[in-house]
Amino acid sequence: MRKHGNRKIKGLMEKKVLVLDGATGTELQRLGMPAGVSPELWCDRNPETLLRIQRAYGDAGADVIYTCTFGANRLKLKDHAFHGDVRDLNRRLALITRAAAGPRRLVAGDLGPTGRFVEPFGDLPFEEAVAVYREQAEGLLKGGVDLFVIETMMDIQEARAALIAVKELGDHFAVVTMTYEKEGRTLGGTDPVTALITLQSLGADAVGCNCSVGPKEMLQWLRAMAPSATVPLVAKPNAGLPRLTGGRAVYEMDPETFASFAAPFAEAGVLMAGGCCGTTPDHIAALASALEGVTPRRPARRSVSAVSSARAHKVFEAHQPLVVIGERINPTGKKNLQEELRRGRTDMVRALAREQQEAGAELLDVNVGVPGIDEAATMVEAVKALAHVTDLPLVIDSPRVATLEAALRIYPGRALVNSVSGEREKVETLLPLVRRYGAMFILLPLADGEVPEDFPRRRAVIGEVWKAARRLGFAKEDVVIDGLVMTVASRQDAPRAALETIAWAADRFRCPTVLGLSNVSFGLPERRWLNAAFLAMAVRAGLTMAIADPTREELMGIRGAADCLTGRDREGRLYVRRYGGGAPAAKGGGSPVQDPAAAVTAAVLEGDREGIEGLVRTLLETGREPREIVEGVLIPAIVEVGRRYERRQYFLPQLMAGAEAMKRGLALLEPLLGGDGRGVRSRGLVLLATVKGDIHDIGKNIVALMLRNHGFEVLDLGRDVPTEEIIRRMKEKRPRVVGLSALMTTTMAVMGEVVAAARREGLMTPFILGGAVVTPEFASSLGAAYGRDGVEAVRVVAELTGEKEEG
Amino acid sequence: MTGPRASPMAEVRYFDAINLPSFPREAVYRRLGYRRGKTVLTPRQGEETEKAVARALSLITLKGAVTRLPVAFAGEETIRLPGGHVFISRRLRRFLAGAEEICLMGATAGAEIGAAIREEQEAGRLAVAVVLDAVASETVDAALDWIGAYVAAQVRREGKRVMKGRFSAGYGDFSLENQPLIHELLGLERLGVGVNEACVLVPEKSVTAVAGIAGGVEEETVR
Repeated sequence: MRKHGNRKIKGLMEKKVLVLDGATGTELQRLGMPAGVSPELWCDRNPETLLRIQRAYGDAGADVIYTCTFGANRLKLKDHAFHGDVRDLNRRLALITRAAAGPRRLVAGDLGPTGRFVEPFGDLPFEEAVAVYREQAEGLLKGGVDLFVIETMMDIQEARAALIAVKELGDHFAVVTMTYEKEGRTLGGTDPVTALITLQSLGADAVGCNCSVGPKEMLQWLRAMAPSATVPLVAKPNAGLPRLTGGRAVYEMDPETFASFAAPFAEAGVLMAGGCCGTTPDHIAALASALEGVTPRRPARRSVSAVSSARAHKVFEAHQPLVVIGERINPTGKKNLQEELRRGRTDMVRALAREQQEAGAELLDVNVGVPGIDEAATMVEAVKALAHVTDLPLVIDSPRVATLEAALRIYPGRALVNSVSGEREKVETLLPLVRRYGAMFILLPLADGEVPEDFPRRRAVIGEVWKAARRLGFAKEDVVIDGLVMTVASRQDAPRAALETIAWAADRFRCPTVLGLSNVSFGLPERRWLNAAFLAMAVRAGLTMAIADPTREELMGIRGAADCLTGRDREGRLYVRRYGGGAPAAKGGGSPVQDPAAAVTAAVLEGDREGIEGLVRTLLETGREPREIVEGVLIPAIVEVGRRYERRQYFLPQLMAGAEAMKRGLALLEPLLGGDGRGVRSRGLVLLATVKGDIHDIGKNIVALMLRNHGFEVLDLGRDVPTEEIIRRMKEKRPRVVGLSALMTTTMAVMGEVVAAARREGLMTPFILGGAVVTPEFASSLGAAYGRDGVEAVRVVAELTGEKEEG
Repeated sequence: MTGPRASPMAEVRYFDAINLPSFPREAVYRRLGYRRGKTVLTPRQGEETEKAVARALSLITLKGAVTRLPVAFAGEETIRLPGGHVFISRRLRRFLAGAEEICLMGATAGAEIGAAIREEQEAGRLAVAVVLDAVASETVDAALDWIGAYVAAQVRREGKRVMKGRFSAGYGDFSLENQPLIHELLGLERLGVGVNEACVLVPEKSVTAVAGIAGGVEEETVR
């Protein structure tokens, strides 16, 4: 039985900032709880100790005392070999807190993490997570809690599961606090604003942060959340950041310093504040004192137009650049995608998501409607797969209630539902579903299977759906009006009706708008021009977002231009950033009037693998001799590349690109070098191998490329090469130098074996050693040379062979 | 000397898809030799590098595993684990001084990225291969950081902390021959990671590490 209902708690927060309690675990340890035990099970056996601590927090001024049930879910209890009744354990623990809190204070049923990640981010099935939390919550309710706190969550999906479990038991006040690492994201990658948008729309009554950091760090996150908050914010920081003292970590923040953050917290919209690790009743007393008389600051807004994924969010505002919703995850007309979905695969879905994100989409429409498949199950698989490959929020696109329900339940964010039309069945079944999961929805102004052709009739449909939505508690910010454009091929004024709808929705109804852009050109040739022109017109009319193909350059170009011309892209910054890089350099890397030799040099320096062959041919046409091109142009160029690399002006990919360009140039010239009678000049054979037991070879391959570029012949034996094989090939080929590579301390020792075996066979060939663990000292101890990298290796090999250094 | 006591996380926790909070771009570039203020890329070179980075990320699925084990020490080089297993290493013993438990962790970038690195090398596209290689190495390392942060969050409430740093088989005198035991204790086969007769993890972009857990948070000091 609860003492204080949901409304009462909200009423209390209108009068004051509620004070939450502080850390319990360390207080328990201080009073004798041994390390390594389950605090919940220990308190069940030692209730008087818990009672003492919780009374102390109450006496210190806490309005809300958390039950000692942080780890009292069946999964965490399994770690302590508990096989008893989980519900009853939670009930008993709640009763202790109820006794400690007395009639005046609130008891919060504490739900902590299970320690596992919930699908799609982990192996715990979503419904199992919901069931685990439901079990716990049922016990806590029996123990008389007034509200629930879902705390220290690092996985947004686990937080959702717990919140859904609580809300499915009734309209209980539910607080959700996530724990953020110092970088400002949870371990799952969710930032505070994204978590807020997801959780407040799903029904959390208060959202915030706890643990991991002190109040100073937490304040910045709360300030970031405040503009988008429609619910009170919650702060339960640690007593600062721990410092290592004599091998132990100590929380050093004193109560007064801790309490000095009370006013800034309240200013940021925090209506519930307490302490986590390192805090004591003294900290809470100081906080309570600092919060006395502070006027609570209600959330600035009732609702927000925003959607989210697990790791990112998008807020829709008037006069912002047009948002493109990628439309390509849709099997209509795509046989390959239809086939893949039938086979239960999601490779193409993932590839389309990546492609559209790279092309600039900010949301992704997901439609998996293929006849004959289990659409709900397929949509769930698509949503789960996409959670791993993209941070873009999703638009769930289906006419089927079962599909939408399955997707909304599992989707780890706040979705946009495409769509709810004016049909009675849709309004009656879909709207409550959308509301239940807190999604936004696209309102499609059609009813009774007909598309109203003129704007007045569309407005009437919108009005009807909006009335029903408002009764369910929706705000205008939750709605996106679809301009519903039909093809101009069948009705000349179809575009005008859509634009009128958009303009009215933007200016008068004041909510975001959307268009399925390509409908306007259906049935006509060269659709892209119609789509692009219509897009510009729609932007002018006030369109917020377009469902379109972001990989169409003309569409994205028109989008950018329209945003620039209408002032949505302030000062054209985005436009300039996108297009201001200038025309791409012509193939060959230089202007047509550049000296042909200089152009070849530039191609090597810039790593222009595609253009170098053409430039070498041009240079040949000027009458330059092939050998002169090799020795007078290419080799100096690659030597310069090496110098720039050593000076750190180039990094490894630039060195490699230069070497690859050089290689292509050489390959073109080598057949021509035999013509002067001197043949291809080799500076000597170098044998390379990664030693037995080691499979790493990228470094060796870099050395091989560089040596070849510098005129050495290279015989590369590969990786994991037995010592006997290296010796055999040394005898057979008589290389001038042998290069060995090893990346591990164990295989480094094999290098010594190879050198010793060679010497036993009377082979006095010089060795050069390389690899991440190899040092000059180690090489020297084996009587070998050392090459730190490909550039140095060339120099060292040249010295070992007595070859003249180039360049 | 008493044997190791039980740890709360006796079984192995698996992570089938680790999503890093942020991509370690700076670490990748640094690994490739990029030096801020010195290295200069043309826009085209920057685009090419980022394209290779994007390709690498599309091929990588980070997976991991972690388990907590109680430890007991004997002498200057013996670390006793449950089940009669033992690590012998002076340097590891010194590294774990003060630890009450260890966490064994493993992470892999998966097999696809390794195959792509090989493919690019064989095709002579080393400029792409080195980027794929760097991204794979740094993200696997970041995955271990992630696992460490996960354990830290679990132990914080117990008043414990994860000690700084981690130690891998093959470092110093902690022989690579311990790798098969670590592989077995973590059940890495479940993640598609094997270990070959040279004690090297396969696929190549896989790592294991040991970190210490100490009882360390004195929260009652300041009143």
